[in-house]
Amino acid sequence: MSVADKKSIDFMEVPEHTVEIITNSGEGAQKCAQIFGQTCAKMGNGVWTVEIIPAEIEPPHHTVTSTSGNIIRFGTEKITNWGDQSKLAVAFNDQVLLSRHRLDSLKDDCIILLESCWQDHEDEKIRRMYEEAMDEMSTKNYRFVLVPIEEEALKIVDNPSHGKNMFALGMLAEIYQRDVSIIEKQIAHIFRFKPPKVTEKNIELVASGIKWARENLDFQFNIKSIPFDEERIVMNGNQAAAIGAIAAGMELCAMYPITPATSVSHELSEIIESYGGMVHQAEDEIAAAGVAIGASYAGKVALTVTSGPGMALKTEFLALAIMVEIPLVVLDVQRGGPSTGLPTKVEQSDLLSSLYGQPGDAPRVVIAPRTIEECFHSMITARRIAETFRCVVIVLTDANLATGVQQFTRPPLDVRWQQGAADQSPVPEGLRPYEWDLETGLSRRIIPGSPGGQHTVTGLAHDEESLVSYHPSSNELGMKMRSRKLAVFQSTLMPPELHGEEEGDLLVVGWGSTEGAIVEAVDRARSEGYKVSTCQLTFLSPLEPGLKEMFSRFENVMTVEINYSDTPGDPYINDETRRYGQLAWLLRAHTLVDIDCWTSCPGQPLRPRDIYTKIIAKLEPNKEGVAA
Amino acid sequence: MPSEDRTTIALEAIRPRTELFHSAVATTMEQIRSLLAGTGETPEDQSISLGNFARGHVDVERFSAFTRQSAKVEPSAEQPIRAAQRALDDLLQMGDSLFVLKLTEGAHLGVQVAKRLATIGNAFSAAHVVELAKRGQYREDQHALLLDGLAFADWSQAERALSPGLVIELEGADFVPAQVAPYLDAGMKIVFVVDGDAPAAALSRLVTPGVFIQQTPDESGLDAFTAWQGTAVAALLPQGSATFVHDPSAGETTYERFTTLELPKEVRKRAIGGISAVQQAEDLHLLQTLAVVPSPTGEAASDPAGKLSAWLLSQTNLAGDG
Repeated sequence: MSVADKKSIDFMEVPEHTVEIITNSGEGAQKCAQIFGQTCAKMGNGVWTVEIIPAEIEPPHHTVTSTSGNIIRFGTEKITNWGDQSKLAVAFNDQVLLSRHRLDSLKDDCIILLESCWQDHEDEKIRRMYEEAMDEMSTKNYRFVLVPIEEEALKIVDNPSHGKNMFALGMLAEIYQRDVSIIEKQIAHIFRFKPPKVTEKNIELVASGIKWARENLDFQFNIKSIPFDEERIVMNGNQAAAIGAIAAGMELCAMYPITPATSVSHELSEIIESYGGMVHQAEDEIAAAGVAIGASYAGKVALTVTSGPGMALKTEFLALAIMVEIPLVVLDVQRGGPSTGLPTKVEQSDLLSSLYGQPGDAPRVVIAPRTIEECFHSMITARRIAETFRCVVIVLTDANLATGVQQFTRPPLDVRWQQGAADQSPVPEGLRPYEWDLETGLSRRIIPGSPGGQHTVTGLAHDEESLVSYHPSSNELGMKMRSRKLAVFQSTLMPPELHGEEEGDLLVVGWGSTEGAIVEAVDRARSEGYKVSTCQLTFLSPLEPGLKEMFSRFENVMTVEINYSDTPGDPYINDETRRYGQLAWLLRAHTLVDIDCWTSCPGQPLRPRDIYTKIIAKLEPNKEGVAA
Repeated sequence: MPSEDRTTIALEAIRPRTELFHSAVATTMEQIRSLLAGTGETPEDQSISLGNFARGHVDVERFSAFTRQSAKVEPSAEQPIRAAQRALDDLLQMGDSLFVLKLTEGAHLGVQVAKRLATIGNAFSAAHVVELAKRGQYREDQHALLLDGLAFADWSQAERALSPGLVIELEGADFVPAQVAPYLDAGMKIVFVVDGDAPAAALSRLVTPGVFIQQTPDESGLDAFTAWQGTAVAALLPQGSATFVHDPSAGETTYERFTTLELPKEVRKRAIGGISAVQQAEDLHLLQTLAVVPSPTGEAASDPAGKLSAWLLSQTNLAGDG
């Protein structure tokens, strides 16, 4: 491409854009995107980011499976999901780009800034791969701009793998007119533990990217931001949950590393000790649950953090906490399953296992934040519910929330979030460890060190004295009381809010992180006159009241989820054999309403366009070009 | 550079530690306030304590019917908890001066450090008093003295890990750093700001494998000291003293760990305070022994530090005026 005349720059003002940075694993796409996303958010743009991470630590480079990257959707208004397709991509090689093309991730007229060194590479095999890739992608009207990314990075660093990402960041800064001083501060922060020269080199690389783009590109995009008069913060869901845990007064986080939950403990371990708490990395998932339960038994506010496979391992200990009524908050950052599954990818995989993954009856509260902001606030509510009802509260987030970045109003911290420390006052004579109120199932939580409060706990069936009891009535009573608490808690819940009309042809029901994409799809359908509404559930056990009545106001009810369900019409799949999405299962059982579902488990978040297509297919099954 | 400026620099060098300590004290204060307030009585208290996530989902009034209002402390526990709160408040009010010990001329360094650390230890005593009171186990006759200071020897490992560190201003004649050795544990950081003539290599006596030690006349060189995550001692000394850095992360052997070494051009031949010329020379000799790569032939090594050391040894004449 020739050097562009500055006067001929095509300056486009757009309400939003979606950008992809795609590289081989280990080439720093995440860092580049992290800084770019943070910069956009700090400049006042709405932002949503999604990571593309291979599960392998270092897959073979320059292959379609080695793609690592990040998608940043940012705009003038609030952004709630990753959108449909990317409008600009920076690709470090043809193969990672091809992988995105094959996933239909790139818009037909996407601008692609592609590393230029491959087309004339000395290795014939690489040249051939490049040609084949370009040929395959020629079905689209992509606009390719070849960029000597490696060559430019080598002018500043010896190892281009440690510099190309910052050069790319510089190009994006110029294309989108980002505030370079914010970028520089972000770089300094990220490399704060490295020698100062690392920061200096990275800033130099950014400057070089800016210069190159200024001299060679003939387009720029302007995405306005609306100034806000409130303080905002920018973070991902795992950071938000970690800081929320501290704000909630949690004193101990016991965990064992597991993707994608580990960074919660990284965040916590950096700061929790300043607030009198600690992170304990146990020898395994089971021990981590045990440590958290032990701390809570001793009167501390405890949390354990994990993901699906870890939840499976913690199963028996969670049952113990439920059986002995020790308050506990469990943060489950869901990933693709079953087994090791898709460790770095998103799936709403653990709803049913969180609810029922236990022998016998083990009632617990399950809540699901919908946004990154709610990841923060959910920790406060989870603590309060756990302590009030002496129960286990499972907070279900997912990989989409965990690694996505969004800005939100800085929560005004309040000491009352931490109020109601464990009551260690002397225990009145005669008060038993499980002095259940027979109506509510509630009993005073006695901390073992409290005067008069000495007692043991047991996972065996026990009576009010906490003594092992196999008497039929004891076990029956314990079961009843533990279950009753959930019913009592449910009596405090309010019916969920609807987005859209109160009645209509279709109600789309979702849970957790899919809210943004569902609302965008529903709004698109509504703008075309379809009578469709949506409702995003956040309390999944117990379920919010009034669902059956709400469903009755719609001709059809359909859940939209990121998990597996059988597709009607597939071989052997009929009304008797069809297995539904997890929320659909739950709602069908709970309401006896014939609820349909559309689910998908591609290892990535749902796109509004796909949900929209399914909505239309549900409402107009015979419409041309719409697949049910 | 005036002593006050050097003290400011020294304080900045231990800032991460003092912030950690202040943060822990402030958190304990918040917990006490929350304890004294109970779960809160008003609907607003209940609503806020339930968190924003519950807004629009949970009926706060109905929920409040099930929260325990009686989680407040017993009336008998209130007095000691308030005393602990005052003690913590006193420490917070002291601000940075809590971490700066100005040694009067001739005072015993070890005694004064012990005293200041006991004052700092009051923060931990206060937390202990609160725990006892919460459980109804506080006994005036047994526990009233807890808030009179907690000796460093009685700090737990967790408490030692929260130690804020100290900046100690003193005259060279009182600079006997070996007296602080008992306090070098669990991340403790001490910076000496030394005025006047001082022993040239006194910190060499504190060199142990896991402790970061730095002597410098250059106040701007404390970045590595601050960044070091473990126990560390530094001294800002007048020109003419030995300059060295013993960085535990730099290697397995002592000489690998000495990343900087500049010995004084002249060896002082007179006593400073109670430190004789022989003792001062011994400090230097110790430093050379630790820092210089041993030579197989028994001669001084060929590296610059080794040559300098050999020269210094040849210059050492202890028949001075000390």
